[in-house]
Amino acid sequence: VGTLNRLMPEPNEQVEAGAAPPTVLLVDDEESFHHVLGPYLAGYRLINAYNGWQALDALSKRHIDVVLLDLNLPDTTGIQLLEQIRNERDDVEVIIVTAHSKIKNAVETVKKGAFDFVAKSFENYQHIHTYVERALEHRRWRRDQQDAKTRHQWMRDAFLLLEQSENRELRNIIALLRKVADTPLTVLIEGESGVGKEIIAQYVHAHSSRAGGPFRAVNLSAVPQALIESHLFGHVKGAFTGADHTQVGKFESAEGGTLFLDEIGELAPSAQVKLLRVLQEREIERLGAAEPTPVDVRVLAATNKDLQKEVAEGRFREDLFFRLNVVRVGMPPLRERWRDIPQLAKMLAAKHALRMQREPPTYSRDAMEILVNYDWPGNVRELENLIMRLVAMHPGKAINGDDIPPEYCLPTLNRLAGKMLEHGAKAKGKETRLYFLAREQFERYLVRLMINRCGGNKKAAARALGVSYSTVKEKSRDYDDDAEG
Amino acid sequence: MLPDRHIRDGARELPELSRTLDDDGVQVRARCFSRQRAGGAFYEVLIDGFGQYAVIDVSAGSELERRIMEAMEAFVAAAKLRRLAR
Repeated sequence: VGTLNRLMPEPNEQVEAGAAPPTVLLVDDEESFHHVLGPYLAGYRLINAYNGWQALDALSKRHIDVVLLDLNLPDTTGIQLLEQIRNERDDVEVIIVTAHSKIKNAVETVKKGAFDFVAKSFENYQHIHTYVERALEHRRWRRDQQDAKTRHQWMRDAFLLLEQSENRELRNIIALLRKVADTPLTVLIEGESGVGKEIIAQYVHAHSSRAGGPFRAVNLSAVPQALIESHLFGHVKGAFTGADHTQVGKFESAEGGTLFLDEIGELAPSAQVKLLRVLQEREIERLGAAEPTPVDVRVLAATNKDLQKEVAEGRFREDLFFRLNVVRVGMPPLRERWRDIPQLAKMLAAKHALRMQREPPTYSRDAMEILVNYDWPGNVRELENLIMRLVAMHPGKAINGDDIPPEYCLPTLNRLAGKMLEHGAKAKGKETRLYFLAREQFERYLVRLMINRCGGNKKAAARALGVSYSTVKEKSRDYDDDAEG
Repeated sequence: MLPDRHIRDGARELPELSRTLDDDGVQVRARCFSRQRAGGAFYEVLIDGFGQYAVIDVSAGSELERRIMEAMEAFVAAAKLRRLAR
């Protein structure tokens, strides 16, 4: 009874030396069982819990990979605890370890989401490592499945947004790409960094008869020049010092599918010659190989450079450019398709919330206004980075203007000042007042921002801004009226 | 000019396979050249229009006629989109 009723403030923890081994939570009311099983779990980070409360506490505070769970616990049943774990945590595998090894129990627990059911016996203790490894392998597989599902969902949403973009130029590009998707034509996608050139390439691949084949992407600016030929075309054993095995290149790994060459303007002259040969003759030569290998790969390329200028300046081969110039499209930057930002922001929040297993946040009107007004020099990639941060910091909450870092707010301020200038010019007809009006507008916005940031505390806002409390009160008067109204 | 260089490089022009497309007064021309390479006979189709050149490579035995028209139409559509975007 003493053992059953014992409540420990923190579960026992034995930390193994080494780099982040998987964590196993052992939940059993019998202390002797912990002593018996512990040595068989060497190599894992082991956390011991003696009842349901301790187990849930450990699960909420620590990273757990696998739970070894007894069916009999003093404050709950193993089945109830299993249900709770399954409802709250999708990333933990549960193995039932019990003396009650009836088939009925095994079936019920597996139905409720346990990965495995192990009877308490010395023979099984000796193999507990294998059971845990299988559970870890299963978890990796489930994560891969989840990632694939997230990617698939994201791509479907992203394709739909491209097709239904509020930007006519982009809609026209998508309509053209849809037409040429199922042809062997090479496509060159131009656009600033971060505009989503790869998603366009994936769109073409997904709408072609090659969709069942692989889609491989290579960022040529990220591969060292010395390795680029081996990376793209592969090499045979002994081709160069250190080539101790034959390696298949990206072209061969994309056989039957599509190869997306990002930042093609970065390709070294020697690799340009080889790429030209592939496009002309549909065969590659692995480094060191005596014979060429035929390949069936559709090539899509992208660049943020002006390739025509690169040709004129002798940095890019003219004959290669002509082969990329059949279908050359320019992706508009995000600032030109700002009407897509609300939908894109929602989709990105949903994508990252799913990845982080959190609720997606929502956006208030002023937050969305800030996102729409910002220029996004880093395009969709910059928007995605910001939203990733917002999802991590405000899961399931409404994001307000003051949750967004101030550097994103300046264009909104500019726009407000512009409106004010326009309004001032029309209403007063005296240009001498415009500077005053714009300054006034900026000050009011800044004060309002700081009050929000200080949780509505005007004195704190005054201190943070380095102005008097009466100034803050005066500058926030209209805002207070708005808030009350 | 580019076609002359092609001929000089050993390609043989096939005038009977040339195609012309008129798009709102803009002439787009496709000229077909045959070339022998290590892998066999190939066609090089040179598309010229909107102040731009493009080349597609077609292996012998493919549906050349269809490939030429497909490439010309896509070339024209992409050039018009770029012109609109400017």
